[in-house]
Amino acid sequence: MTAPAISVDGVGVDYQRALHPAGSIKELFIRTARRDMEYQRVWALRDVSFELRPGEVIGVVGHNGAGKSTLLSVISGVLQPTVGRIVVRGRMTPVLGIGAGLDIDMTTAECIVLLGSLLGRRPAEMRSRVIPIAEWAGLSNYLDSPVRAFSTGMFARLGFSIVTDDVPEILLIDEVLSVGDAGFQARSLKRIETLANAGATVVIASHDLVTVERLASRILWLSGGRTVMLAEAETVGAAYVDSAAPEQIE
Amino acid sequence: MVWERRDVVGLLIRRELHVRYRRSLLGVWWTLLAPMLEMAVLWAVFSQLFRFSTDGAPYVVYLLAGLIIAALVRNTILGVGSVLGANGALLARIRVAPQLFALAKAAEMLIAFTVSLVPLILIMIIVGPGVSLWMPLLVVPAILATVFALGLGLLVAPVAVRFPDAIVLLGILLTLVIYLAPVIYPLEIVPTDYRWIVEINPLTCYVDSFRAALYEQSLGTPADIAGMIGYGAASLVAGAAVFTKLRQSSQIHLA
Repeated sequence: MTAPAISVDGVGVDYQRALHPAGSIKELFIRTARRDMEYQRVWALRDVSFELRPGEVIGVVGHNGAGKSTLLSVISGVLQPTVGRIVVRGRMTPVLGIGAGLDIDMTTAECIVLLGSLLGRRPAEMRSRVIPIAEWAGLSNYLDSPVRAFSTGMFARLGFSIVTDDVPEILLIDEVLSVGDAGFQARSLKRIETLANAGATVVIASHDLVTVERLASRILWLSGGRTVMLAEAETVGAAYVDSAAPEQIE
Repeated sequence: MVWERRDVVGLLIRRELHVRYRRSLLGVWWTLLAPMLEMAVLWAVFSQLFRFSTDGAPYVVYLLAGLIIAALVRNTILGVGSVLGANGALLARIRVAPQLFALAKAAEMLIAFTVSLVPLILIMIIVGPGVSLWMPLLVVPAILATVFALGLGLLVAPVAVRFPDAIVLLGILLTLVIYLAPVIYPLEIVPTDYRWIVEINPLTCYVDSFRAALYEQSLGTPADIAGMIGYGAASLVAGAAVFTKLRQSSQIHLA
């Protein structure tokens, strides 16, 4: 049996959070003087465990605040878990959030080189990839234009095109597919499938069950930071739909 | 680890410079024009209102030299201190050492400082005392001042990401620190009883050494040199330690 690509073992992330967080030093002083600061432990993620085989695609579903993004952040190493252990084997490319870090004053070409380099590739290599990446995103005519004027969809296309340019061993995707038009979504799904077929391990988080069900073999359902269910995609999908129904009527 | 990613630091510096100067109509010339105009104002004001006598150079050169090195320290502390907030969207999503952004910011400030040397040297040629072959010595106080400010910036960055008004408060505090150093006045006008305040001010040794390199063919007194190295090392060690220690909890506050 091969070693798991990702193993998440009893992971919890704790935010020590003031009940009414002070947004400034001024406020902090006033509130501390009045003894008005109370702290509370908030577990954004608690007791989450699973293992992923290389090449497996897992979906993560749940409502806003369920811990999906926190889970992806700890897998990517951006956040350290407070408790538990995460082992990742392979080169990882996170797609966390739309157009992450695309500086609005930079041109499309500059964004491609900078973001790719921050993700760990050589700047020289990225310069040679500028045209294919822009082409895939449908932004060839905007190479030297600042991304300032881009729509959300264009940001999403550019971000997705940059991070999926190189075949990653592990791909983390957070909500990127819910923006962008139908054409982009279809092409993105196809690209994720291609990468998965080429052996990439994929973790895809979304509240859009349809996308997740189409791609993933298993689904992890989170609520309030805890695992509600982890099973085959159809099983979790059906249960998730049942649970969501009454809330949607409200 | 930072050395391995020096190419990324280079890209970040270019981004900062590009974005900073592309926006202005006058482009790169703005970098020369803005400090020159600022100096002209200060020159007019201070040479009419105050006429401190200074050794080795006309008062205006003394003043501008002090202001330039003080601005390097101030801007680097504030710039590095804001680095987590300014790059929050990236740092919250990509696993990349935030120290790279801090280094790029410090380097950008050092480049801006170098550009502002041009008008200073022009003024030194016009009003005296001229230029000397020893002037490249100024690299030493400039780099040590950057190291000192980088350390302090790293120290305040985890605070600034939690409380955005920290940078504003720090700016006010730094103005006080600048007034408590011999930047616009010579040390000699300070009453002997209070001179120790100016002398223990870390900024003083960098200012003294920078002026010494400009027109005294030296790096200042041995105390200045020891102070620059001592304050620089202490600041960088403390800043790096606090920044690393609070890295994880800072992460939660990023956008």
